[in-house]
Amino acid sequence: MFIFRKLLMDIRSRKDLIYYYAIYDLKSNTARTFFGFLWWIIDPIIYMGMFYLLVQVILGRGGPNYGIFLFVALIPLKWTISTLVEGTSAITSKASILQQIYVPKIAFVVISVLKNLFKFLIGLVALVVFLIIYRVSFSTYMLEIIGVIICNFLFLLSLTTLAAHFGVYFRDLKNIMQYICRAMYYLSPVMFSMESLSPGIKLWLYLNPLTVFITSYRNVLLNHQHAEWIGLGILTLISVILLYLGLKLLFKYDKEYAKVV
Amino acid sequence: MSNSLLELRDVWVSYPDKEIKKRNLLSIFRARSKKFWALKGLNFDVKQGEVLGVIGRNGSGKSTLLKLLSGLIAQDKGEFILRGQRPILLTLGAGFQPELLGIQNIYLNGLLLGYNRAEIEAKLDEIIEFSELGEFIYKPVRTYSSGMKSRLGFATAITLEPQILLLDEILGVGDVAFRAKCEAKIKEKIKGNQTVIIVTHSDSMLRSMCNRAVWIHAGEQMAFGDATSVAAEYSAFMKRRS
Repeated sequence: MFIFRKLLMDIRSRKDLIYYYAIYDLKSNTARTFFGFLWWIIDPIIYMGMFYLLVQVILGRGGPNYGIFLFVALIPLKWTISTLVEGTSAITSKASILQQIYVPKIAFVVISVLKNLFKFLIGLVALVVFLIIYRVSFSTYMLEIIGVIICNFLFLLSLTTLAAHFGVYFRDLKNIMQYICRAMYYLSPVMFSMESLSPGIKLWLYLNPLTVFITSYRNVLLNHQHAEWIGLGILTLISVILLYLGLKLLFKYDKEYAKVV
Repeated sequence: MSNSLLELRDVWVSYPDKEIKKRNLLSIFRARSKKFWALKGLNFDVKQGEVLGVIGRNGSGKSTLLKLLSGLIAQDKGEFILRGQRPILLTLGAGFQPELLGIQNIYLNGLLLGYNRAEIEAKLDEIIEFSELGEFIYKPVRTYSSGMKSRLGFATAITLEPQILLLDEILGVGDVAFRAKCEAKIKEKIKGNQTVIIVTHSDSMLRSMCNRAVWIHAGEQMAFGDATSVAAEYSAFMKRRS
């Protein structure tokens, strides 16, 4: 438990840094672009548009409401992938700072995760617009999305902590992570629905954490059903354990990274 | 030695002796094998208000010592006792983001150095004034000349008043006039009971600025004591070598 208290203490003592760094980082990413902050909205819309064009218009698959079926999965998927891939270089990309000023490395991990959370929330706004366009009726089940997002966030935070640590000692992790993410993407029900699969394959797909998340997002937003709370509960338990291990490593190696980055 | 702010007792620091490129999957799990000892058993202390010089040739371990003192790395063996704030290395704009405005970079740099927003805000005017950047403070740092960047970095670090200031060599800050201003500012700080650790390879700097000095050579501590006597030992040693 001490580890988690240290996490909170470190975040509290550096909250100004984390807040401003995340904001400034987002700002400097768009500083010289014409659309500026609008890119965070444009990006998910174009992303969704491309998939819509490919699957529904060109391949003629999916049937009615396939667009929104796809979008509900794509936004959290994109969040997961970009957090994990960026997470592998959360520490290494700050090498020049690491060599000159002492900053608890957990701050960089939190900054990286929060930045991506922010982009996801913007994507969520775009998603709401599409829910309205597709005339999806409101239900109280939709409120469960907050719980799903919290579970998803915890999952990403724990994995990012580990990825940031191993990313320092094993640079190939960034490349490998892209393949892992791609595999997680194709082996989860992003483009197809779980009902169309045989029970055997279904079970295997549940080994992929994304399956639980995506099914939950779809359940609460589109199907007027509960989220898969059992699956989410198990994932949260795993996340807490992984976060514990990740933080242990990160705190133990806090003053070793400057030697090797 | 209760009045010393900082104390090193038989401190050893090592680096993993393997190029990161050559690391493979196995070496993550294998116990770390070879080590390169950069510092071998340092013993010295720094008192409130004194100027301590650290002298040594290139590759003697000075930079490692700076990293240790500023808390970037930790010792493998020995004790590093710190009473009070962590010393801050006077860097010229570490972590500056070129796309951001000068004023935003002041915040960023200050926050990285461990200050909070209120502390930086209180000193903001003073920093801007000292940097002599004028209207440029509202322009992106990428439009700055290298001299302007160093000026902003120096102004931020020195104005925020670290308890112990770490200086690495003579700073190449801007033009002659600004350099003189920086030196004057450092001297003023020294007079005002500021604790300073200067890392250098010039014995004349030891004589002119420092109270006491440590001489390290190939990671080992050769001498520690009065600055002038350490400077004499060092220059005699260097003459014998050449």
